[in-house]
Amino acid sequence: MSMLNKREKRRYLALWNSNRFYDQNKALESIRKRSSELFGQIATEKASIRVIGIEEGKNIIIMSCKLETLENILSTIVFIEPPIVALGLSGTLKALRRRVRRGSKEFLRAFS
Amino acid sequence: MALNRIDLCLNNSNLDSFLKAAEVLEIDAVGGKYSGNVQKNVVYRLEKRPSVITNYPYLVVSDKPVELTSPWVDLFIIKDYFGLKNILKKKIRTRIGLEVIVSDKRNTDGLSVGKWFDQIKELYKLCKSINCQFVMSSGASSPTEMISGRCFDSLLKLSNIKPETYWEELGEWLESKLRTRCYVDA
Repeated sequence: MSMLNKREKRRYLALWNSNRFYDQNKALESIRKRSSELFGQIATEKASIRVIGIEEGKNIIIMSCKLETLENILSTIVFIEPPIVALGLSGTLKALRRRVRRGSKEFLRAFS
Repeated sequence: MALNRIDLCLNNSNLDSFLKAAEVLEIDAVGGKYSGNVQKNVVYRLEKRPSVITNYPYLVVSDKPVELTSPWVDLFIIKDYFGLKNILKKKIRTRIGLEVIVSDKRNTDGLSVGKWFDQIKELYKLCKSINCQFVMSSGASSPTEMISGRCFDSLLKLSNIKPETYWEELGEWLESKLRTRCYVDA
């Protein structure tokens, strides 16, 4: 059995961008920096954090990371300043985007 | 299994927006300051035991070590665990809640957060041995500082605490505290 084509499982996260403070690079940089402080550079590299995009008028940032480091990344998000709120996560981007679109009014009402 | 997640410390008396955010973040009940307005799914944090019967559920909260032995205190905020460790072992009453606040660590460096996790692991073990309730709260002063249920679970896992067990125990403890209260249900 070949192991070459085995893809690493990822999780997709929807994050509330408080006061639209972060752009894509800034958000990624903040999470990577805090994760390095808390879990080390090697663990942060292994997490392979990526920004997928910014949605709902820059209010929501969609990111992904490897499943095996998900707990570290969720904990990292808690300790970021200015705050970022983890709204939801999913195994597929499609399902997460659907959830974000469905909940966008509620998110706006809760955090704006 | 659906978890009943509770964030007992929100640092704001205007709880309307927090309750909307709590719903989105899968937090089922919150604790906050009493401002005269009674809301559903809120446990109010008071500094002193009220002298009259209330129409809201409450917990008496303190962070002063001299009040650790007070029979009225339900929830004690741990700010410096290692400084309080010996007092906690000797003087504490059983079934009191010992609370750690996450927001205190948001602006601190990685080393301080790491030590905080170490403190939590030890505090949780101590709570188990002296029959007290470990409580982790956000301490959010705005909805954007709130912690989602799933992030709470991650923090608990990193502290070697099984989230399912924690939420179940916290719910039972809170229910037992509020059951003995004499308040008129609004």
